[in-house]
Amino acid sequence: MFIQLRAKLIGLIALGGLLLLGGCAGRLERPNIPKVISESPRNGKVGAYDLEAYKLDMLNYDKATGSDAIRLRNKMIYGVMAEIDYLFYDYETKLFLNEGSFKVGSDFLQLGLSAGSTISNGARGKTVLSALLTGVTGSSLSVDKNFFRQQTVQAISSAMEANRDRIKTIILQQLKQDSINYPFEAAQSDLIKYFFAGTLSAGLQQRNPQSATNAQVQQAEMNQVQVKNISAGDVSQVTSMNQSVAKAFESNDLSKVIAFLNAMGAVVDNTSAKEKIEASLRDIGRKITTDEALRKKYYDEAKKAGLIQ
Amino acid sequence: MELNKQIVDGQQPLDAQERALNFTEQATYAKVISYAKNTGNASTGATPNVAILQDVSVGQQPNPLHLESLDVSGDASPIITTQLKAGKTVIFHDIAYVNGKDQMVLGFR
Repeated sequence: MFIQLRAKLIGLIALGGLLLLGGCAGRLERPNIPKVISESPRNGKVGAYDLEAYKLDMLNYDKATGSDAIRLRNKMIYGVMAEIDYLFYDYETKLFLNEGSFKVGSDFLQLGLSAGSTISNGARGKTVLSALLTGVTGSSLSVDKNFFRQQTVQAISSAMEANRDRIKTIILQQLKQDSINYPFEAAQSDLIKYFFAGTLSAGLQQRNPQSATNAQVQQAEMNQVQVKNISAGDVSQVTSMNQSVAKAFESNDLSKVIAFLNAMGAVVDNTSAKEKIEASLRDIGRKITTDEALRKKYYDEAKKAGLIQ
Repeated sequence: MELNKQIVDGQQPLDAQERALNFTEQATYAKVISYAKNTGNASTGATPNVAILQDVSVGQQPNPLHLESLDVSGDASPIITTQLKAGKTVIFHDIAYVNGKDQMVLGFR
């Protein structure tokens, strides 16, 4: 009897401990959101820019012209943008907290569900975003889970942030225009792009083609810049050129060198500093190491300028 | 002085690589200070070598570079001794591609 009671007591203490830990974990996710952000001063509901305010602004916007229209357009854009930002950072935090579960092999579907519930996010999801996103097909999360596991959450998150920054910049630049050239309907389209730029699938899409493109560029550069097929005659010609240039520098008579550089397309004249002439010579020299056609022109022009024979 | 990187085709024989390096030095008013096979960003089957060049002032071009090579596990001391006797000094020694295969390459001038 006493042993049973003791076991129950230990169980209760353990349960209490777990609840406490659970509470701590909740606090770890993020600090409490200030009420000025989480609650609208207008109606006290969650969501700073709610559907009612949005509808009212839209009605007024349809009637407004000139600076009033611009003011209302900008108000709606900033309001919706703030909603999207709130949801994105909330989603990003959860993505980081869930990172461990990917590593221990949990199903990708779990993330999809968790992301979906985050985007819904109670009252917020039912406000402006629902109206804004009506008729827009949901972004597919059918990304191969093995591929996802190869990416780190940090990298995907950075890609999402980069996507969002790019689109936000476009929107903010457009705000300089009047409401005829950039009406709210156009902004609506950009805001939808802004929202989807912060989704997992957009982050993954951003990561993958970029990596592939970078790899292709690196490969192309590697193939192009290799020095090869240099003959003994080539070495002899550039050595003669190097010596002639050295003599010209020593004698301070750079007329032939300048004539040669001009013929090669460099913008220098007899008032140019020696450093600039030297930099132009190096620049052209680097190009002829890999460009055989330019190398031939280099020899021809050096001969015409009387620098080599 | 500024440092620059130049890729040289490691499929070439040693004498062709020596010409490539001397050409680059003369054309760019620079000197090679290191030479080794490129281990980064190279695709499968690619055999690029990387030369690091340091700019020199016009008129201060050093003597031409001479390359020697041997097996990676070979003994470099006879080669070095011969070159030192000829008044040259070792500029670099590292593993680089020669004819597409790993070799110990030594640079002297």
